[in-house]
Amino acid sequence: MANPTKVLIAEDYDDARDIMTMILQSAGFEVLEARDGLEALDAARTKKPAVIVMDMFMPNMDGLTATRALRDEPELRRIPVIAQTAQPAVISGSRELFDAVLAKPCSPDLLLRTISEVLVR
Amino acid sequence: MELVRDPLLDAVTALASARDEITVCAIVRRAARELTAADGVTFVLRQGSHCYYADEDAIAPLWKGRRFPLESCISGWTMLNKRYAAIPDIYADERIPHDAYRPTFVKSLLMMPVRREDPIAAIGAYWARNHLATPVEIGVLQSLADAASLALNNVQLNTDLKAALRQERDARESAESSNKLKDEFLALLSHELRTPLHVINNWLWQLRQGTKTPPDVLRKALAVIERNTALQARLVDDLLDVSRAAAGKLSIDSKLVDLGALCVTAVDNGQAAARDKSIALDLLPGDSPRIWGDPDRLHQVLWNVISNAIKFSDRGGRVDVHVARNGPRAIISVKDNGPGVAPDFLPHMFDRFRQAEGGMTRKQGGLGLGLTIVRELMALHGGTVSADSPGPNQGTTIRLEFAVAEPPKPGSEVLGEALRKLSPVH
Repeated sequence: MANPTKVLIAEDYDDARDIMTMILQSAGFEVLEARDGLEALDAARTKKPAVIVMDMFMPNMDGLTATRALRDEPELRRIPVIAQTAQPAVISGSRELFDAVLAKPCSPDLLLRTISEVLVR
Repeated sequence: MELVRDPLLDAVTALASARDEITVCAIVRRAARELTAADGVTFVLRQGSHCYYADEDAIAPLWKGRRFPLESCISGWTMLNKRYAAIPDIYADERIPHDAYRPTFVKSLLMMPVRREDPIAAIGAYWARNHLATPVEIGVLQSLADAASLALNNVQLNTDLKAALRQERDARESAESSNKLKDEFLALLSHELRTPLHVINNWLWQLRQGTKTPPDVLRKALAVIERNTALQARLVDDLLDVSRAAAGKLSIDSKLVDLGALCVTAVDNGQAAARDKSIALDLLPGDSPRIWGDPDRLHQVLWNVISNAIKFSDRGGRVDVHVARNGPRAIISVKDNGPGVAPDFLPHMFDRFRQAEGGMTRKQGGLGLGLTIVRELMALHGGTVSADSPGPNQGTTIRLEFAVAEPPKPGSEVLGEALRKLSPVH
């Protein structure tokens, strides 16, 4: 069996991160977790996820800043980033940074479908 | 042809473009002296019931910078009587306060009101000899006074205009900043409502999947859903309270409340939240004053203050609650040893929609309504709330102050007893 696909979840709210991890694991993914933008950057560099699900409002470094930083690193710039945020309006001006933007509350069906879409691109 | 310089014309031209009183004074002073060939001139402004000797140009000092009642001097006389005074010998005229003139060189004068119909100033010309002002001197001083009057009107209009512009700009800026605050608040509100909804929605999806959910996962699911539902309910309650308070529709139902007992319950209720962050939450030994208040609302006040202290404290910190009686005042203080509050934010801690942290990287959730509700509820109790933070990392103390309920007068109790004894037994 091939190695499972790695998904990095960057989300500061524990309750949200826990359930998303459980759902993605059930769907067969290997899940990496980050609590803020800095941890997300670190995990992206060291563990090379296939896709990142990024919250925007996070302490220390927000998701928008973290995604900009990813796009500046040649090694990481091609990793698909899905923004999942309770305030899509804050990234309306930076839409092109992301492979997809999902508004919370977001059904897991839509998240799973979006992940497979960005992975085949 | 030689161009003849006309001092009056020069003065009138200069006055037309003067934008402040000091410039007007300076032009009038110079021109008046030149036009009348006087030994000294003064420019006197009316300030209510006094005349103010604003400026002068003379061979020796006169009264610059001094104020006199209108009735006591000749400049006041010309302003009150709306006509000029030409006095060839001041010591022969009883309108002149001779004592004020004795130290000066003045022997004769001409005093001209500015703005004849309703004088706002006067121009004085003084001679060191006895001299009756000539019709030409009176005429040019009159013309200068008319020009000065227009100039002073201009200055006033200019000042009014500037004040009006400033007022308009301040009003616009304050409206803009309050709009910005509201926009930010609505964005925050959307975020705070959607985040727990996302969690609930995802768990429900998970529970609805075909696979049988193990009991421990189900327990966790229910706990998370409950917590997030409560979070949203609390948010909605707070919003309603703030909007009721804004509409003046928040009310309380007063009973006698023992603050000591109230704090025991509040500290008990806060233990779970404190434990989650390894924070020691204690009620220090203190008094048990009684006040008139709404027990439910007082619990809400204390919960908001205590949970705020826990929320903004670092893990392993401590929160101390203390009740004290100070004469007619009862004081509850809630002291944490957290990061404290920046001095420039302290005055805004209780404002609607205000939080010290903004932007996408704020560490604390919530809408920033808790302390606003505390302030409103304290006001309904006739009490006050204040915050104090001695500096960074030195914690914050919130003080709630109430009036102690008056104990029933011993006399009235005795009287009541006596009346009961007097009433016929059925």
